[in-house]
Amino acid sequence: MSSQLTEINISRFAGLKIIPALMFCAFLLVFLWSLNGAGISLRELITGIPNMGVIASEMVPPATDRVWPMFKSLVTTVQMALVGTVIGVVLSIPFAIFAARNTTPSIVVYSAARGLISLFRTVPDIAWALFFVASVGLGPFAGTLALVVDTIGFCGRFFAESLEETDPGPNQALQTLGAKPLDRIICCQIPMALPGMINASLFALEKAVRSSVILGLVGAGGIGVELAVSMEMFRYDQAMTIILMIFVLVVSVEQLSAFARKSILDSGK
Amino acid sequence: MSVNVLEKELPPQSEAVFQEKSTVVSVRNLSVSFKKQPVFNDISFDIFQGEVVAILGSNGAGKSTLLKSLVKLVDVNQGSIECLTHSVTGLRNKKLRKFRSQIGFVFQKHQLVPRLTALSNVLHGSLASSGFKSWFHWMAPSPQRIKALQALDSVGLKSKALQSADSLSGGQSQRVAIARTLMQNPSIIFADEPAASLDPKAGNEIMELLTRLCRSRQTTTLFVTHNLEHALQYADRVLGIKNGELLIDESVSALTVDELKELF
Ligand SMILES: Nc1ncnc2c1ncn2[C@@H]1O[C@H](COP(=O)(O)OP(=O)(O)OP(=O)(O)O)[C@@H](O)[C@H]1O
Ligand SMILES: [Mg+2]
Repeated sequence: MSSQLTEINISRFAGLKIIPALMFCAFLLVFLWSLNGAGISLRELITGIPNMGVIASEMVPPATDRVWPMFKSLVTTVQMALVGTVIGVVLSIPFAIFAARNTTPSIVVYSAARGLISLFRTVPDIAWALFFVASVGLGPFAGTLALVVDTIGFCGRFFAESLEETDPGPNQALQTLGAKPLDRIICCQIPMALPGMINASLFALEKAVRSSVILGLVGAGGIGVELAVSMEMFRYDQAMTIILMIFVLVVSVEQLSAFARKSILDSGK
Repeated sequence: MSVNVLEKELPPQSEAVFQEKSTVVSVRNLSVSFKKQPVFNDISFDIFQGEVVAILGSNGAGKSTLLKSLVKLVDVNQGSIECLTHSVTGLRNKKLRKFRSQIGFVFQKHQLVPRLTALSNVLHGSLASSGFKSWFHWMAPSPQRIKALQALDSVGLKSKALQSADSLSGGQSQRVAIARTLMQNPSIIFADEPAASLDPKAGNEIMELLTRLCRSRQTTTLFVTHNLEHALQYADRVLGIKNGELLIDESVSALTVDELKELF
C-alpha cells in the first residue's frame, strides 16, 4: 500500500523554476535593504500616537465658520479639473495620432510625439504646477495648465494605444479605394478607437479632480490652497471640513463618471 | 480645332473596335516573392473590358497576392502591370489614390467600420473624390446621400441604412461592402473570395448579386473563389494558378470540372 504511494510520488521541488526563484530572492533582499531607507521606526510610531489622537480630536467637530469660501474654492477646483481635462483631451487627439504607429505620418514625428508624451507623463503633476506657478503666477490658471499637461501625458498615451489596437482591415479597405490618410483616421480609425478613448477621458477627469486638490497645496488655486492654509494655522477642524468636502466631491465624480461610461459605451453598441 | 471635329465624328467606328477587345488589365511576366520565397513567376495574362474572370488555385497558390499586386498593395519583383492605362508599379501618392478610386475591391471579410451605420459605410466609397463630405452620412450633401441610399437599395438593404455595421449578419455586411464598391462607380471590381465566409445559400446570393450588378454595368470583374461551380456558373473565363504558374487561361465553355480539379 505505502510502496504504491511512493511510486506515484513526484518531488515537491520538481516544478520549481530557477529564474523566478532567483528573482524572488533578489526582491526579498532589495526589500530588506529598503526597509532601512524608508525610515520605519516603531518608537516614533508609538510616540506619535498621542499626537495623532490630539490632532484627530481637534478635527471634530468640523468647523463651519468658513464653509462658504471653502465651497467657492471647491467649485474652482471642479472648474479647473473640467477645463484642464477637456482642453487636455482635445489636445491629446493630435498627439495620439502622431504617436500611434498606424496613424503617424513619419517615424520622426512618431518619436517626437512619443517622447513629448512620456515627458508630460513622467514629470509629476505637482512639478508641472510648481513650474507654472513660477511662470504665470499663483492661482487657478497655473493649476489648469498643469492639468492640461498631465492629461496629455495620460490621454495621449492611451488614445495612441486605442488607435494601435484597432483592426487594420477596414482601414486597408478604405486605403484600397483611394481614401487619404486623414480621411481614414477620421472616419475609420477614430470611430473604432472611440470606446477606449472615452474610457481614458473619463479616467482623466477623475484623475484631474484628485490632482487639482493636491495642486492647490503649492498655490495653484482651488480647495488645496484652503487646506494648506488651515494646516498652517493648526485649524484642524477646518481641515476636516475641507477633507470631507473633497471626499464627497471625489466620490461623486467617480460615480458620475462610472454612470457616463456605462451609458455611453452601452448606447454605442 | 479641326482635329477635334474629326475625332468627334470618328466614335461610331472606334467604339465598335473598343467593345471588341479593349484591354483593361494587362499583366506581363509578373513575378512576386516574399523574402526571396517566390509566390509566382513570369505570369502573363490580359483582361478585357466587361469580362468576368474567375481565379482558381489551392491555398497559398498566390491568388490574393496576385489581386493585391494589381492595386499595389504588394510590391512586385519583376514584370509589368498595365491597368486602365496606368502602369501600376510606378504609381505613388496622389496618382496611386486616383487609380485605386477607380477600382472596387471586395475582401473575404467585409471590412466595414463597425461602429458606423451601413449608410456611412457605403458613403465611404466616395471618400477618394469627395473627402470630408463622405465622412459620415449626416454630414453628406443630399445628392451623395441619395446615391449611397440607391447603392444600398441595389443590394436590397435600404431598410438597414441606419443600422450599425456590427449589428448586420455576415451576408448583409458583405452586401454593404458591395454597395460601398458601387458607390465608387468602379471601372473594375476585384473580389477576393467574397463568398468564402458565408453559408452556401448566402454565398450563392452574393455571387449572383455581384455578377449581376457587374454585368448590368459592364464592369470588368476578377474574382477569386474555391468554389468550382461558382467559377463555371458566373465567370466567362478562368485563370488557374498552380505551383507559381498560370496553368489555365481558358473560356468557361471550354472547361470541365475535372479539368479544374487538376489545379488542386
Ligand atoms: N505579407 C506576406 N509576407 C510573407 N509571405 C506572404 C505574405 N502574403 C502572402 N504570403 C505568402 O505567399 C503565398 C501566397 O499567399 P496568398 O495569400 O496569395 O495565397 P492564396 O492563393 O490567396 O491562398 P488562400 O486560398 O488560402 O487565400 C503563401 O505562401 C503566403 O504564405
Ligand atoms: Mg487568399
